[in-house]
Amino acid sequence: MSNKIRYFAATPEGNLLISTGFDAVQKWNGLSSSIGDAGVPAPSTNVAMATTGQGGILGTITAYQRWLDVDGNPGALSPVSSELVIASTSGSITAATSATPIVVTSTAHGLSNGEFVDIRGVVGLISANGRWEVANKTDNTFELKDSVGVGTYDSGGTWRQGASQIDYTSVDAPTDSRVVTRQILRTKDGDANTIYVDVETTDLSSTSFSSTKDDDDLGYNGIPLFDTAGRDNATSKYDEPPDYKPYMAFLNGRMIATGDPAYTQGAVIVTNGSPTVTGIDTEFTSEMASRELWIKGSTARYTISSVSEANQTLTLSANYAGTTQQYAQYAIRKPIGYRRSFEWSAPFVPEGWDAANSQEIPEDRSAGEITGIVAFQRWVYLFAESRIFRLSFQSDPALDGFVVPAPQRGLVNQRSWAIVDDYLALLDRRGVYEFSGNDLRDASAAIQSAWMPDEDSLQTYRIQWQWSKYFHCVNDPETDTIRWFVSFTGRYPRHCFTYSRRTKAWWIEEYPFGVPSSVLGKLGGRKQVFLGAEARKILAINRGSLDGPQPNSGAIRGSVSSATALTLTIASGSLPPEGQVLNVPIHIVGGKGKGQWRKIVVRSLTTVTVDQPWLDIPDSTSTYQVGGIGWKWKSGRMRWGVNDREQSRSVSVYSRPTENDARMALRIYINRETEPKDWGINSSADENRGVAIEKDDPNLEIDTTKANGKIRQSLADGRDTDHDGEEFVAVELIGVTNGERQVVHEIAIEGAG
Amino acid sequence: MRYLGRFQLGQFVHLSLITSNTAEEYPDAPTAPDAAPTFSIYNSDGSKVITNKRMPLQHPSETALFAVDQMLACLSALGPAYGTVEFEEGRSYFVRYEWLISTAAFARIDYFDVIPGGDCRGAYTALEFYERPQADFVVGALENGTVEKRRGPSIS
Repeated sequence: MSNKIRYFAATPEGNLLISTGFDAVQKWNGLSSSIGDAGVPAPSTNVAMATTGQGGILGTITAYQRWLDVDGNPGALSPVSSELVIASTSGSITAATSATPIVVTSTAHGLSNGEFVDIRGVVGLISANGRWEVANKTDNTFELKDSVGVGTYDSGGTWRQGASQIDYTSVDAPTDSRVVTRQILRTKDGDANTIYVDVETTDLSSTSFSSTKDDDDLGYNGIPLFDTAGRDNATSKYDEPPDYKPYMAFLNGRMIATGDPAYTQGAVIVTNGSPTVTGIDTEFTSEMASRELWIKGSTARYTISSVSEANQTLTLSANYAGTTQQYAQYAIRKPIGYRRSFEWSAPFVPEGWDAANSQEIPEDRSAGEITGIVAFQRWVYLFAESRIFRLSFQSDPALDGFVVPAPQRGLVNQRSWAIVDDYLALLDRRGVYEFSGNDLRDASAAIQSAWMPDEDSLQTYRIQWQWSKYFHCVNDPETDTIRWFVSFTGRYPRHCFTYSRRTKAWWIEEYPFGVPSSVLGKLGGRKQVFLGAEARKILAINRGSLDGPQPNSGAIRGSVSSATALTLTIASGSLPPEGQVLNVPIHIVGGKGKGQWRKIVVRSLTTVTVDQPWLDIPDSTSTYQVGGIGWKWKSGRMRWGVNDREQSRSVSVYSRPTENDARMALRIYINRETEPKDWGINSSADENRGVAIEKDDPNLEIDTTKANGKIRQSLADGRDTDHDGEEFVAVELIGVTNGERQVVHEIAIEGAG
Repeated sequence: MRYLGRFQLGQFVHLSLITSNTAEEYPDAPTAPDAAPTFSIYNSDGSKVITNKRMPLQHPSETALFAVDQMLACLSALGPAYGTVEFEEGRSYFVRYEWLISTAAFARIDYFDVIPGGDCRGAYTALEFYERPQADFVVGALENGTVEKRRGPSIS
């Protein structure tokens, strides 16, 4: 198990980065079969250099190695090599002709035709300076092949003879599967600040290479070792993405990462005087090395020098000086300087990160922990629990970036925001709000009671914040709705607050399983919300009116033959195939046990086993519905009219007739009672009224197949005059879909207003 | 012996224990143990699925209340090998807790059932829609830490 949330971020080149804050950042390019670590590692040792023969490779040079991945992304450079001075022979120049070619005089030079020399320091005949091939040599003179005499020799000058080949040895061989190419880069003579590719190879195992390229052959596409701000690019510019910053976004050619999550899972055993810490129900990773361990109650923090994943032990850089504890609470975090910082990648190299590219978010004691990041419009918004910060930059946050505090709202986690047209919709510990970058609007007044902390309050739903890492949000532009999945009971969200942008209405959806993730994607060319659920299921929302089975795939509704505490056998027909009904709800929509639903976990042709026992075991009077989606709507309270004795009272429901058997239940609530009122009469549906009522049952059953789609039920008239009398009324409709969409056009309550 | 309920593979079973110098379920006098208590889970054949895994405190202010949410997972590559037997559907499992108080040993047993319909990799705790020229993908991270790619989403 993991207990770590993974966060996704797309790079400008289309790769997908996956981070947790505790593991190496991973990436997938959509092509390879496997998901691997992001970035490219760097060689850890410097190369050694020597020369062979005599030729045109001259001067003083240094070299590096670097590795590249399959996309051509480079890693950071190796440590620099020792300086190599290539000067096997040299001599003084005493004269030179201003001719074409130039003839140089150097007594007893010892050179041969075809060899190369590097000439410097000639005064007057300046065109003699440079690298030349020796021709037509005599004992004391030689021609500079292809030279042109410009000016008159005045004085000075020396020649040096170069090598024909550079031999690179001790070249670090990669063992990481991300590396597909190696490059050896070197400087040219006279410029120690620029490197050029000398060797490029897909040979990943050799440790020796050679090159005969002279400075001209290296071309002019050099890589500066210092950037425009004068920072050293040599060893850190393309480090791997930071494994400790889980929240990432992309803007202006750079990936931005922030966050500093604390790892607190389980407990640890710490022993006074020992550097070894043993985890209890932990999942320590090697990436936690160099982070700090904080023990609850201890007065010191300790740097972790190494991690054993196999044994789930930490080794500290110093002996633990506190009291021995067998099950201590703890936290593992980066040093405090990382707490409120953000970092960014090299431009357009989203997997190349320079550790120096880091900046602090302004101090704000009320802001809380950093919880997320969103690139929106022209800015990057950095979110804390209760504060928004806006980052603006053009090319490099270090040079032209600045962070300013924005409104004092926050974000509960990196997955609880959605871009909705021209604003952000966000969830924090105060509610749901909309943020345009300038304006901020509270949006959750209608459901605010769920945020109330008072456990004695009458609220039906209360958010369980201890599971907030599983909360998430998704915008559905097809239906103009935004869903906020939060936990009311248990670990995973099984409910969501849904906001309709068209009607400005909120409702709560309940799911028969945990839904800890969601995403907006596409299906058949249309925008589609997908839900990630328990049992490794991904579901498409709002496709069809059944949750699982196809309407004609078998007996999805009918009479029950028999049932036990954990099974139900249908009276006729065959159930849909297993793949369509496994983990799908089965509702009892009529007869004994009505109103219950369970999840199907085993299916045979006519019998299902359910996940939990029936509290009221159905029998042959019962009607079942497989895959029905239960729904409920309740009105607000209305007051009966003052002169109600002169008015009749009734409830009318106008709905779209369904072709297949389906029912809705109508309930009424009096005053502020939490239980619905019994109708107090018996009436069967076959009276062609489309309703059935049983005495002592608060449900008025509506047969939605009635052709005119209308039912009307009279209520006892007249208001009691005593103080306990009926004064307010609310109505509730409850239904379970049967494969057709159930549509209620209107509910009218006569006598109330 | 408490019955903990019916669970599917991939779900979490909340195991909890109040330690005392008796094996009672709800002891009058909870007592902190010498060391973190351990639990082992046995299947109905008596094979150990999890062996001597330590339990953390549920809350630091409760000195004798230990709890762990144990995922009914596939064998994990990370961490000590608590066992080599995986949880299976349709079986009952017994949880044996053990602890020491002043070197005296105590134990207690709970049990639960694993019912069909689950997946030992657990729930999708993160999803991403990944649009590429060659295909659309739904990429999901599961509770057990694996990341899966599903190409060309369609309704089945």
